[in-house]
Amino acid sequence: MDSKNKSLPEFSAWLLERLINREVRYSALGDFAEIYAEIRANQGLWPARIWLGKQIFRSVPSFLADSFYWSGIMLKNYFKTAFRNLKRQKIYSFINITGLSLGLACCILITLYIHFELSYDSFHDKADNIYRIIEIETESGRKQFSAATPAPLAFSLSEEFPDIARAVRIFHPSWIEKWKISHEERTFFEEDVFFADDSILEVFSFPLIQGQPEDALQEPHSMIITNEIAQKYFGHSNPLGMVLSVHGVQIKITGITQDVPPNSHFRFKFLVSFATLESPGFRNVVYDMLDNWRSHNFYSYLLLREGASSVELQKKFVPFLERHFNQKISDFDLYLQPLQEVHLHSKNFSYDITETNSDIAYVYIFSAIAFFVLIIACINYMNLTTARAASRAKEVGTRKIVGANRAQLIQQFLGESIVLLLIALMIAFMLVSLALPVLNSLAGSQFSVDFKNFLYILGLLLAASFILGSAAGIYPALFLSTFQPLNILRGKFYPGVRKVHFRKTLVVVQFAISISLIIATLAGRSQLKYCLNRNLGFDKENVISIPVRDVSTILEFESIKSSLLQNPEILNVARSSSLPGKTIGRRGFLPEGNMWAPRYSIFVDHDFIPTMGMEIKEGRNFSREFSTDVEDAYIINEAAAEEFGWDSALGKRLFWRGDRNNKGEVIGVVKDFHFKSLHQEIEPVILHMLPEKSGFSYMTIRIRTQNVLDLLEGIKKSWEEFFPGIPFEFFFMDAQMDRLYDTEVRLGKVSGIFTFLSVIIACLGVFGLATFLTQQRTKEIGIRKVLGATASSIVVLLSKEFIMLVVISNVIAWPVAYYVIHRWLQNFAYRIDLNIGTFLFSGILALIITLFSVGYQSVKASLVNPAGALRYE
Amino acid sequence: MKVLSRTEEIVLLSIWKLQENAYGVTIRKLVSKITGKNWSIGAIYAPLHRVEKKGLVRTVKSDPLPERGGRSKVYYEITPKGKKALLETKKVHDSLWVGISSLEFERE
Repeated sequence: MDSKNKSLPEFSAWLLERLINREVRYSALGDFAEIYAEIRANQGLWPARIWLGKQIFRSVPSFLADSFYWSGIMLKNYFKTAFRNLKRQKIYSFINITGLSLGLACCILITLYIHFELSYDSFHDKADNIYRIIEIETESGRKQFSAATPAPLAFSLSEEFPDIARAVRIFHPSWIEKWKISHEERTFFEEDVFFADDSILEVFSFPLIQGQPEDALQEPHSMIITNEIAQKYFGHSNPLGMVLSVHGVQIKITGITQDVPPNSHFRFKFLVSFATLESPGFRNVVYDMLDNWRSHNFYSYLLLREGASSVELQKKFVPFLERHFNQKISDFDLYLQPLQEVHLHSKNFSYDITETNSDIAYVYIFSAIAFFVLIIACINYMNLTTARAASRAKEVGTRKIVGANRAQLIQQFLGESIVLLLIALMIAFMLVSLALPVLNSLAGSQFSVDFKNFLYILGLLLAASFILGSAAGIYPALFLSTFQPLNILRGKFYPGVRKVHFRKTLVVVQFAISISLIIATLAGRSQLKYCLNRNLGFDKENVISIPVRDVSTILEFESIKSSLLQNPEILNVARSSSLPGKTIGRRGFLPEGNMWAPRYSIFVDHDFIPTMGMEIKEGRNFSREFSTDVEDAYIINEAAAEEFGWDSALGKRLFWRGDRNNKGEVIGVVKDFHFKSLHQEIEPVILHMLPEKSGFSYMTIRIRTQNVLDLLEGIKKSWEEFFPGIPFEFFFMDAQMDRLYDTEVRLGKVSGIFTFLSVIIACLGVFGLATFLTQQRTKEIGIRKVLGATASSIVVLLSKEFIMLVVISNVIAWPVAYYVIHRWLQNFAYRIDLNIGTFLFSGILALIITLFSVGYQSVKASLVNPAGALRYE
Repeated sequence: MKVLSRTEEIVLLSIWKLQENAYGVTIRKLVSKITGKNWSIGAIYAPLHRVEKKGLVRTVKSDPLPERGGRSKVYYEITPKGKKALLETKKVHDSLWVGISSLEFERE
């Protein structure tokens, strides 16, 4: 037998090599080989192999236990050193842990937010196969997206295309803000009343707590309410089978569902059967919409069959669309929007079912902020840890001399980072649970940390601290473990001199990020200020509007108007079908020399233009002197005149109601006014007159007063005299317009907080680095002072370097910030010009903050008695 | 000084008993024979390693041998400290056993 046959099979040898503790490996491997060879010689190859396998299997626990026993002792030592270091260097530890905890808390909060945003509508079991129908109209090259569709659309589609398993229509008219709902003596006005086909329960996942999902919404006059509403109206008694009056119609409760989760893009509290809309009580809500292909007021959702492709399906729609839709409307198409994209990908869709849709851009912005804050915090950690190298050098040297190898040292330092991160993470979680309520109230959101999955969170925590600890700790670990013990112990080595450049680079990165964030926040603020203060083409101040939802108000309008006008503080009262900032409907118009197309139009009265403070540019306002104005007069805005290609708009013809006999004449041009947010260009709009005694939606009052509260009280009194029993509700026009920027306001507040935190964290980093650099130059400063340097010259000397760093950071940050802000501003049709002031201000702010953080250290160093500094050796 | 653990004691005694011929394979054989239990190689090396770390035994290498895949035998040898520890442990045992032997044959 040659010696090769006597040794162990290669795989087993390799395996044992790794399993057996280094110190006994040699001798144990020999034993394995010897006994293996013996058994092989006596009993043959296979018994030997079986024995070997069994032995390896049985030996593993002992070997592992043994190596753990020893590494456990080392681990204990590592922990001890780590904690001693934390305790000894209190300021460093404080800065380090504070920086990391703040950074991590930011990250956790943002992660919660992003997770929430991305989870929209994912709770529906069939979410992947549900699509919403979106209409796309191409109008003079501009694509207009609209979520509202005609009522007959959904079911006509599902009858014709077998790929569609179910269709649901949802009705939630935006022109009715509140519904009157009463139970016995009590009356409430509720917003979240939705109408839907019974298939809604099959397509979406709204499980019923009570009632039969199969037939809960089949009959007219039946509805489902949420748990919350059940409690509100019925307390503890069982609401099933009870009757509520909705809009004056008796409706029976046939089901109760769990409250709709906050991450659903539409959130009903009352879900009334679609069939109910056909009853006479709802005539004045739906008119002839239910079988009208031209009235786009319903939301259509389709459930596709498993495996069906929405893109393929869309392509087949063309002949269907030609058959059902008005031929005169060119370039009309349908798009099937996946359900889970509704919340984040519906930017600029008009007539949406909800006003709370967000934008995927915000998810990106916040992810970027979270990422950057985390980077800043990690850089901080790296910087401070490497800066502390001097104090660890002796330890490293000693460890190396008593036999530690580099891998062990790296392990030790990485371990320290992980422990520190774990501590920071725990503090971060505490911060998060403290900050959540504050943030929620600021941001108008409702996240919560779900502590139910405690184990899951714990696992996540450990994993995160492991990953981040390794990421932030790898550089310091590599750096510290390179020290040469001989040099260190001879006292010749000044750690970090060479590596200072790397650390400075890190500081520059930190500051570049912070400065970019400051610039972005400031620029965002000025855009917001611009939005809130821009001249909108009408005077939004001192205007009160009362939503009208009762027939008696419509009939009695003239009487209450004349009664109100007796008050000298009330200047004007007008009525209109809609208002700027509210949904404005589109009706088909044919302007002379153009095509039929749906165009924005508002029904107004004679007093609307003066009440709103709009300006007539050409021609005249509607006048009582011309009785024909009611039927035949139009006022258009400048944008309309331009779009219709009319140099002189006065006297031009307009046709509407799809009928060439219904013609009218343009009598005036009103200056452009913003009826949507500044995100959108001013579009053509046509004003025409409300017929006498016809329905309108808002009564608008212009006031001039010192005391708004008293005046409101007065208006309320007259209201109650005229309309007893109808609650008085109102809003201020300026508040209404400002609400269009709610998302931006929230974004501004939240990103402001995070910017502030990132600046603080970066400052902590600079402070640490300054401390380190000053310590290094103690001797130099001493010599300079002996030679006659003044304290102030030393402060300048020490600060100069940091000023350079901040300047470099600015050079990097400005173009980046410019690019990002520029992109963001593209969201607005009307926007500020970025001016250099914002950039300069941010740069100077960063400089001042830096000088403050560095100042303490440099002043301290400059005041030290040189004798003490030089005795150092 | 600390009393040895039972495994450590068994391993040390076996080394002492085997005298010149105490290395992994023989120690494992003897220990298995005495205790009547088949010890795995790992189970022998854990206490061996520990007593070595404690300085109760020291190791001497032989010449490389072909039957060990070209490796040396690593012989274990009890140090004076190891002997002392064994004797101390024995003393503890003996003093505990005093007066107990008569109970050995008692019936329940």
